[in-house]
Amino acid sequence: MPVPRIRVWRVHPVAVTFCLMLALAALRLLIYSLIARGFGGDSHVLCNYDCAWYEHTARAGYDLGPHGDIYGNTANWAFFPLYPMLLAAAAAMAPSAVGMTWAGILLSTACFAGFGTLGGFYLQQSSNGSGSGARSLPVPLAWLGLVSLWPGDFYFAFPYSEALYALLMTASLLALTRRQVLGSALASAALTATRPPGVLMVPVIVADRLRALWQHHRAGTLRRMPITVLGQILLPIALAPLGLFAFMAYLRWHMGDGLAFIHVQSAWNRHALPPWLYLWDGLTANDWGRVFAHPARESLSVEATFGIAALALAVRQILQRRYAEAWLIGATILMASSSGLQSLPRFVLTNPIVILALYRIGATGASRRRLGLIALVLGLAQLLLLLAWFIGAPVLA
Amino acid sequence: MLRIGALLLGLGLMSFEVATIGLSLLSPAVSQQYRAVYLAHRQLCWLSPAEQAEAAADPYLAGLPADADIAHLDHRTLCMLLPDWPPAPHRTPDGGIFSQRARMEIMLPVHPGQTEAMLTVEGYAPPRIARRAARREVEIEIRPIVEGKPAPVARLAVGQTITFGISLPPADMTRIVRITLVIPQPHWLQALNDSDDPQYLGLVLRRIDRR
Repeated sequence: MPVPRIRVWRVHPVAVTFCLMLALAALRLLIYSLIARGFGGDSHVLCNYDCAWYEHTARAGYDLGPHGDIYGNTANWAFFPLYPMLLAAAAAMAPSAVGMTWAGILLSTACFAGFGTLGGFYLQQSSNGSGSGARSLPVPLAWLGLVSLWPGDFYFAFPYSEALYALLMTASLLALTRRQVLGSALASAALTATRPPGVLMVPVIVADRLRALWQHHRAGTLRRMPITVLGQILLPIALAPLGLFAFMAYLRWHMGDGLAFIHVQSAWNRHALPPWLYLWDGLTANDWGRVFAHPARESLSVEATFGIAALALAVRQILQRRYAEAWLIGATILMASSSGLQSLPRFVLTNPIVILALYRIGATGASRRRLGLIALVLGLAQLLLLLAWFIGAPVLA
Repeated sequence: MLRIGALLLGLGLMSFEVATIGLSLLSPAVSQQYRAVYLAHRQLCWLSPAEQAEAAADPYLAGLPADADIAHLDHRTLCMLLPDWPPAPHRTPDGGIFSQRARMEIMLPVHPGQTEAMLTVEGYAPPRIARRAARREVEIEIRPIVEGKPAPVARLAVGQTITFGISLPPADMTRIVRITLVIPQPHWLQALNDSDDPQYLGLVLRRIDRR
């Protein structure tokens, strides 16, 4: 006989899970805020690196010319529009005293709670029925705890697009596993308007639709009802990358170059090369000590290690026959490291599929003692990275 | 009906996506040289104290070749030749220099016997007005002023490259002549140019040859 609270959770699984995630995120945010006081206060340290670009875009829209760095080369075309749009809306709705940074923190926190919620359901859905018995909870309790202690969580708390990206990618993948293809395509459309690697969800949906087309062909329904079948195949494929193309069309109308988000990468010294060259060069750079130098500096070796570890995880997912997950991890890392290693730790630490895959490896079926140990390690790692973020460690940019 | 609608919507969206990528790849709405601005790293026109001292000691521009291709001038020479280049310089990947704020100052060394400067320039329209400029078939007017005296006006279209001559005052010895190129802006741009995001019709300087 389940206790009443668990019964409420089963009756309203999404709402209760979301509220639990929100409560955990709020608690974590309170701790962040208290620690931030030792580093000059909230507003001083919570908005680092790309956060300023998101806030600028939310305030002023997209640039007409480059102006950003000391050379005036950079522009905000590299930052996709959905997060700045939501940030502008959140800032407009919030009381003026909240300010843009805190509006972004609230928005990101809500997205993170959404990611935690959908991630839990995705884990249940993709666990092939194990753990779905009468006594099981709607989502694994350990997942809620561990995702709240994940070392990269601070990116999900600050005005960065990572939380929204994690939410939308998980939503798209979850919808696809539940055979809600149109829902998956709509989430993908939003995902492709959030961050460039969001476009990697499109091949997953295309592969799913091609498989469906093959099945229709085998069953003879393609011949009997071609319009119905083609509508089911083409509409999701057309919807999935719509966010990216809408952004391109806007850029073309606004400043004349639909591919400005790619072209402007050179302003950050990002140039396309085969990713394995960057990864190998980084690994052999042997500059580990730069992370601990004062002031801390970017370490190519550390960045390459993060990338290679994620690629190893992608290979493991292939061996587990989780091909979509393997693609979403591996292709993201290869895409990111084809223009340099900068920000690779962030891309790995905030990739929702990495977090879900590592949870499966570390926590599924684990004893309480082991879970406690994992929680302790994750919590300490998060604290360490948060402190590094507050002092502006470039390896976390 | 719903099924046909779904299929048509899918096909319509796909057409939009193909058109977007096609236009982005094949036909940017802005002139090619302006599009190239952000592909190039801007160069701050700043000289180290040692370079400044060296330049002040003369004859820093005396060695400027009579036929000067802007793309092949070194940073220091360029900074001396175009002192108004800072504070917001644009240099294209192929080495041209954009006019800023509808004017360009050139400090040109003139040797005895040289009577004319031939300027090769290309007209451009920045992104926000590129389409309007194309629709109106805008002509860019260049009003040169040599040592404070107006010289004959030159005209060119957006995207067009022309070479025009400017008479230089006679010189008994090598001296620097200040040439100002003023590019008057059309009335329909006035409101935009008074805004926070001014957009000027302008030109890219390619060559300066002296005869």
